[in-house]
Amino acid sequence: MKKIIAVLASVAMLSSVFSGCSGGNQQTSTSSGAASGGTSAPVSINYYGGWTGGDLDKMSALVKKFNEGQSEVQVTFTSLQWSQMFTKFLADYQAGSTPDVVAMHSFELGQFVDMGVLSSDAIKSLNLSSSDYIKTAWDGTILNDVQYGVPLDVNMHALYYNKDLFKAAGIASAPTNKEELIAAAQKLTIDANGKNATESGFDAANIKQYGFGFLQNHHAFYQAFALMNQQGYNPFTDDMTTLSLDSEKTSAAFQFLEDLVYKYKVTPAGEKSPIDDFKAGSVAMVIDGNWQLSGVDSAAKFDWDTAAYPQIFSEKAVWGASELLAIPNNKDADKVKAAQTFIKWLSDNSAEWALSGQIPANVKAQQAATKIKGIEAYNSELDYVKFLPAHKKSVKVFSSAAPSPILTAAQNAMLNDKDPAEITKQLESDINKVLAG
Amino acid sequence: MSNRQTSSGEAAQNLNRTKGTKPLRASQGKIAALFLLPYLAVFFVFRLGPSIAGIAISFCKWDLAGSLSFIGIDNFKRMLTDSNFHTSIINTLIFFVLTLPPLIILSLLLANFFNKKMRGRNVGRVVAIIPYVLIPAVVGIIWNWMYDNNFGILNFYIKKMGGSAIHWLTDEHVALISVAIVIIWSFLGYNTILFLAGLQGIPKELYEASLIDGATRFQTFMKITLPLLKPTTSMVVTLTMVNTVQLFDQIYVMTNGGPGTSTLTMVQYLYTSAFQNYEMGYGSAIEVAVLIILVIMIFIQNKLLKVDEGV
Repeated sequence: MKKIIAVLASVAMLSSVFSGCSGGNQQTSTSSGAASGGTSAPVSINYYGGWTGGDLDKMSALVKKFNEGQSEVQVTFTSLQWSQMFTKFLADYQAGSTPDVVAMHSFELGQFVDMGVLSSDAIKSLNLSSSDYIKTAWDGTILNDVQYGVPLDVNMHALYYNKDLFKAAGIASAPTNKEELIAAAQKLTIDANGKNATESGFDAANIKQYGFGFLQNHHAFYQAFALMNQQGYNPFTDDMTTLSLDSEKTSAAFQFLEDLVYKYKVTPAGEKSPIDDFKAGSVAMVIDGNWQLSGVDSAAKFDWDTAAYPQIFSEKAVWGASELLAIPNNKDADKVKAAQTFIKWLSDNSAEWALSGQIPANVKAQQAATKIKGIEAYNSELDYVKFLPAHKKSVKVFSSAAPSPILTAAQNAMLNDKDPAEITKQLESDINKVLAG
Repeated sequence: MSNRQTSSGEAAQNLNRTKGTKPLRASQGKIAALFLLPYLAVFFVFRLGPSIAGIAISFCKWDLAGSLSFIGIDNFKRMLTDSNFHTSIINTLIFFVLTLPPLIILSLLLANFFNKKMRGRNVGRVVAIIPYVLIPAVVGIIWNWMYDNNFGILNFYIKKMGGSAIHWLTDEHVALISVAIVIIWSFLGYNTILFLAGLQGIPKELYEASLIDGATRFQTFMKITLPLLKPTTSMVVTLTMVNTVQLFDQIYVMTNGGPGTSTLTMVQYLYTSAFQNYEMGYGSAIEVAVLIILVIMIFIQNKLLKVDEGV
């Protein structure tokens, strides 16, 4: 009865939001028709990812290349927006037609491990070596000393800057610290009369070009997280049960971000799409991820480059996340073996994945990858990139959708100019509510 | 008795003739049922069945991956203390209040306008319905650009006229109003067409008679148009109510429930709970709450408009 209700509910939930539930082979099937029928028949496996846009094209091309390069395994690749893909994954898992390979971010790992849907044995039997992968990405696949995935790539924030506008403003190089960043941003923030933010008579209510931009949603929190780490402070752990925030350090992080908008007035309040503003030439510098590289390269009609995320406090640190490939529990040994074959191939051949702006987690692939424009700044951050924890409730705590604690904190800072100490207090309270729930 | 039966039968036949319909024979009824079968099958499999399952799940804890565990009314108890849920109810009701009056009054005025004989009337009707036929996500994306604080077209003209930029979607005091404007823009044409159909069903003789009696245009509107549009108005109010309370797409695209929780509606919170936090039981409980609120609202609306089936 529960099973019937579960299936009906899955249909109800999914049909109301998006269509396209896949059917497929039953998870409980212990034999693979394809493999057991003879050696010539390929094993068919399903691979779910959450990429859209340019990333999707590159991943589709890689899957196609794998399928065409051998005859033992045939991969069907499905990509939806991340949260929708995870819902589909869990619904399919529940219905007994689990995908064989699922991509996810390191901080999302905790919840799926807690649900018990991922196979650590399937990863262990791959006998991977940590020395073959970027350390932070490798660490991002391990939870409580157990490895649940194969690292695919690393994403980070860095600074994009318009070299033409820098040249026009007489700025020689990209800012590396707080003073340089504010000075450059002020020079590059220009009003309708052509005056910049350092000149008298500057009209802050009528700005034509901003010096500095960044996403003011959950990514603003990611920046606050980086700035907390730049003070040697990271309160978020894989196994936290309660959270006590250092008010001084957390407030300092939010205060810096608020000042850019409300004190220095170099960042547009409520900016919706900084990378598009950057491409349009209306914002001179933006903080964004390496997934934007290929898009900027194809759209920008000016000279541009990237630089490492500025060091505002005493240490270097930048927010990042890694993408990994996991194998859900599956009793069909042939499919698990096929999934392992595909994952290993994808990891070894991820140099081509770098063409979408990603940094392959596989060291050899990273070294072999064509260095697309702007990637060097991101590579330089690999030694100090900081990941959010793979806590079992990370998806709720660090969600990008309202009413998540981090989104409320970020928007209170960036949109409402609230007292950073109050933001810190509310953030702590909101996260503790989620952890206690 | 037989006379009375004959008389009432004749009356019924006359009524049917008046309405242009004839009673179905048994064989015709079967054929009709056959035509209805595909729809009913889809309705039961994808609507009714899952809805009933949803009510059952609201009494369970379920993360979608594992098995369900019965927890009684815990999900409903949680609603009582969940401040985000309370916010979502308040936002939904405010949103409803912001959108319903303009969507009824403006569409009625527009329908009256398009009901007049004039050049370009058909083109006007088509233009009016265009916003409704656009895909909701596309509507959200278009308005997102128009609402952009710094480089959007609305603030461009506001600044041109010497005003200050409005933070349409990023000011928590303005965001819900901004979304309401988009919804009014989207649904206005649809309601207009419904009212137009209602207006065209009113016999012309009544207007001619009122003209002869010397009634003013306002009196004609109040005494003839409005009363005879009551069934249409009731239907439009009900549909608008359901559409606004169940609104999801545009909010998801434009604000995702933010800033803060200022545009977090019940359906948005249902989605977040069920599909992002994987709390299917709690999400289903919110769904039940949405259903109850809608039923109450429709009941009140029917009482207020006193819809008479015989009208």
